Amino acid sequence: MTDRPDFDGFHLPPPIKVSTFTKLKFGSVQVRLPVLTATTLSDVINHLLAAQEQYLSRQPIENVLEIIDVAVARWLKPDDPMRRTAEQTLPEITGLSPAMVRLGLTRMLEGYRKKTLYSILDEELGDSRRLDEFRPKKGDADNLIRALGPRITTTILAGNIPGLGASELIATLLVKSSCFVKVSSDEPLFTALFAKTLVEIEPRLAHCLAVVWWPGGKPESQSIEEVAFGRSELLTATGSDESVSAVRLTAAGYQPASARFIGNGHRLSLGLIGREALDDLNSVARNAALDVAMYDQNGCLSPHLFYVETGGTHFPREFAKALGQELARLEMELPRGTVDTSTSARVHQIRSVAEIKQADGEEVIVFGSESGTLWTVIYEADPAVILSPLY
Amino acid sequence: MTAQENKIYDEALDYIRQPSKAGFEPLALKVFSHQFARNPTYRNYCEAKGGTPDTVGSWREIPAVPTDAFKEMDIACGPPEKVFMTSGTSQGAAKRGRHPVPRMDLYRASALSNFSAHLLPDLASLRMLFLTGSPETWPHSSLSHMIEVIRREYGGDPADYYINETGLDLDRLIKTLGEACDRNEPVILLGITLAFHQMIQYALTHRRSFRLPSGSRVMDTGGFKGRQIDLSKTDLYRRYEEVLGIPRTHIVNEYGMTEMCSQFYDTVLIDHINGVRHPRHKRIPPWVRTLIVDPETLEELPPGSTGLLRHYDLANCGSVMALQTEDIGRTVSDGFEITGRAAGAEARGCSLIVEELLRAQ
Repeated sequence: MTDRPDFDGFHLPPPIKVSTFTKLKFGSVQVRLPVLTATTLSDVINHLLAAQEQYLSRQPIENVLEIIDVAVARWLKPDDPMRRTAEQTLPEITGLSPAMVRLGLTRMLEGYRKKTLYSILDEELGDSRRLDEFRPKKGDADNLIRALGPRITTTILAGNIPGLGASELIATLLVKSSCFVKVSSDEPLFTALFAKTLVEIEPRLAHCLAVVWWPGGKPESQSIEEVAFGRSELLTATGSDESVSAVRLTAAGYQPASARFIGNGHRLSLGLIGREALDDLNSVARNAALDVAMYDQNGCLSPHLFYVETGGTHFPREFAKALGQELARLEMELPRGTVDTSTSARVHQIRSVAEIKQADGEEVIVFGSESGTLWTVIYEADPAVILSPLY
Repeated sequence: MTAQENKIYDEALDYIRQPSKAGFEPLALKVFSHQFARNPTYRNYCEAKGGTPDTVGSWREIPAVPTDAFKEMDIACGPPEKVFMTSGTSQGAAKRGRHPVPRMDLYRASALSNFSAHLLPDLASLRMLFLTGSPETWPHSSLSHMIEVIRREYGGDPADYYINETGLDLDRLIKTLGEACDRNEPVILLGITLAFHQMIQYALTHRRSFRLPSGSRVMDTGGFKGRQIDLSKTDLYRRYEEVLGIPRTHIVNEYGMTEMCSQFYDTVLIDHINGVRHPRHKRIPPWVRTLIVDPETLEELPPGSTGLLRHYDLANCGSVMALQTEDIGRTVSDGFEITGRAAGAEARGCSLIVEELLRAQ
C-alpha cells in the first residue's frame, strides 16, 4: 500500500503555532497531532476566551445556527471533500466498515439541521432567543430570563463513535461557548475535519475552536492537564467509566470551585417491545436489527437486550428468530467491521454457554451467523441481563 | 462408582504415569465416550454440535466446552471428591466458576509429575516457600490445593505459607530469605505474581536484596491480568533477578486454570539443564493436547499463528476433557506461549483474592 499524506487531527486558533508534532498510525492512515506545552495551551485558552468575548458571544443565535446548518448540509453531500476524507480514513481508524461509517455520519448529522436545533433550544431554554437577550417568562411579563453558556467548554472525547466530535462542537457553539476539545487516540481525526468545515464557512470561528490531543492521565501530561482543567469552566468527558473517573479525579485537583464537570461513562441500552408491535413482526425486527448493528453495537444507545412482551400475535422467540434473519440480511449491506481476538473469544464463550444451557434443558435458543461471530441472537426465557459484545 | 467407571479413570491415571505417544488418541476417544455417556448436558451439547462417539474419529473433533460454562452449571461425570472454585471478581458481582473433580488421584498424578519435570528436573532438594494462602486460607482455590499437594510430597513446612487472612507476611518472608542466604540453603519460592510483585516493591523501597544460594528458583503464576500494573514479563523477571539473585533460567512461569486439572510450565529450567536454548514457552504435558484455533471460525490454525487456546486434558476425565478458553497464544517450538489472557477471565482467581487482601492492609 502506498503511503498516504498525513492527516491533521487538530485545529489551533490562527496565531498559535506549534513546531513539534506526533503521529498516530492506523494502518495506512497517519494522523498528525501537535505536541503541546503548558505555555502553548495557556495561550490557546487566552485566545479562545478573548474570541468568545469579542466575537462569539455577540453573535445572534440565528447566525450561529446558520453556520452550523451550512456545515451540516455540506457534510450530508456525498461529494463534500471533508466528508470524503472522513469516509476514506475512518474505516481504517475505527475498524468500522465503510458502509457503517457512511450511514453513521449521515444518521448523526441529519439530527443537527437548523430546525431540529431550534426545537432543541426552545425545549431546553423555553425560548432560543434567551441566548441573545432577556426574554419574558411565559405568562409573567415582568420576569425576564436570559441564558448564558460558559465562556469556554472543555471536552474530553471518547473514540468509540466517529462523529461524536460534531455533536460536541455543535452543542458547545449553541450556547456561544468557545470549544476546547481533546480528541481520543482511538479516533483523532473526525473532529478536526468538522472544525475545518466550520472555519471555512465562518473564518472568525477559527479563533473560537481548539482541537488537540495529549496522552491523557500520563505523568508527562501533568502540567498540560493542570492548565486544561484548571482553566475550564465546564468540563465534559465521555468514555469508559474508568477514563471518565480518571478525568474527574485529575480535574478535581485543578478545576476552579465554580467550574462544573459532566461525565458520560458507560451506558447500557436495552429495548422494550410491546405485544402490539409484534403484529408487524418483520418491520419491528428490521428496526431493532438496525439499532443493534449501528456502530457495531458499540454506541451508548446500542441495545444489548430486548424484552419482548408475551401475549401478542407472535411469541418472543419468533421475534428472536426474525431479529437474527434481519441481522443476517443487514450484514450484507452494513457489514460488521474488524473485531479483536478477545471480542471474538467472548462472543464464542457466550454463544457456547447459551448452547450448553439449552443442552441442559433451559428455555434458551441460539441464533447465529453460520461461520464466525458476525451476529448472534440468544433467546432466553430467564429475564436476567447478560452483558455482551454480541454483534 | 461402578467398576466400569473406575476402569476409565484408572486407564487415564496409568497413562498420566506412563504416557505413550500412540496411546493418546484411543484413550482420548474412550474418555470422550465416557463423558458423553455420563453427562446428559454434555451429550445434548455434543449432539447439537454434531460430534458424538459415532462420528468423532480424532481427539481434534471432540466438542469443546467453553470455560465460562463452569459458571453456569456443574459439569461432571459423577459425584465430586472435591470442588474447585474460581474467586469472584473485585466487584463480586460475577458468577464463580465451579469445577467438580470426581477422582483427585488423577489431579494429583498430573500435578506432581508436571511439577517435578519442570521445577525439579535436577532432583534438587530445596526449602519450599509459598507465596500463596494455605488450603485453610483459600479453601476452594485449585492453586492452593496444588501447592499443598506439592508441599506434602516434598515435605515442605506448613509454616512456610506466607499469605494469611491479612495478606502477605512480608516481614516474616524477608527474614526467612535472609536466613536462607546465611545458611546457604537454596530455596524454591512458589506463588502468585502479584505477591512476588509486592515483595519486590517492598524490597526495592527498603533497599533490600538477596543473593539466594545457587540452585534457588521461582515458580510464579497468575500474572497481572486485568490489573493496573504496567510491567512486561521481561522487566518483572529482571526485578526478580535483581532482588532475589535468581537467574531467569530459574524463573518458571506456570499457567493453569480452575477448570483444568493439568497445568503448563515454562521449559526454561529444563532447557538450561539440558544446555539448549529456546525462547521462553510452555510445554504441553504428554497427557494433554493444545490447539491454537482461529478466534472467529474456531478452526485449527497452522503453527506460528496467534489464536485462542483449546486444551484436551485426560486428567479432566471426570468433568470434561475438551476446553475452549479465551486465552490467546501462539505455537512456539513444541509448545505455546500465552500472549494474552482474556480480560474478564479469572484464571484461578487467586490474584484477585490477594489483591483484595493487599488492598485491605
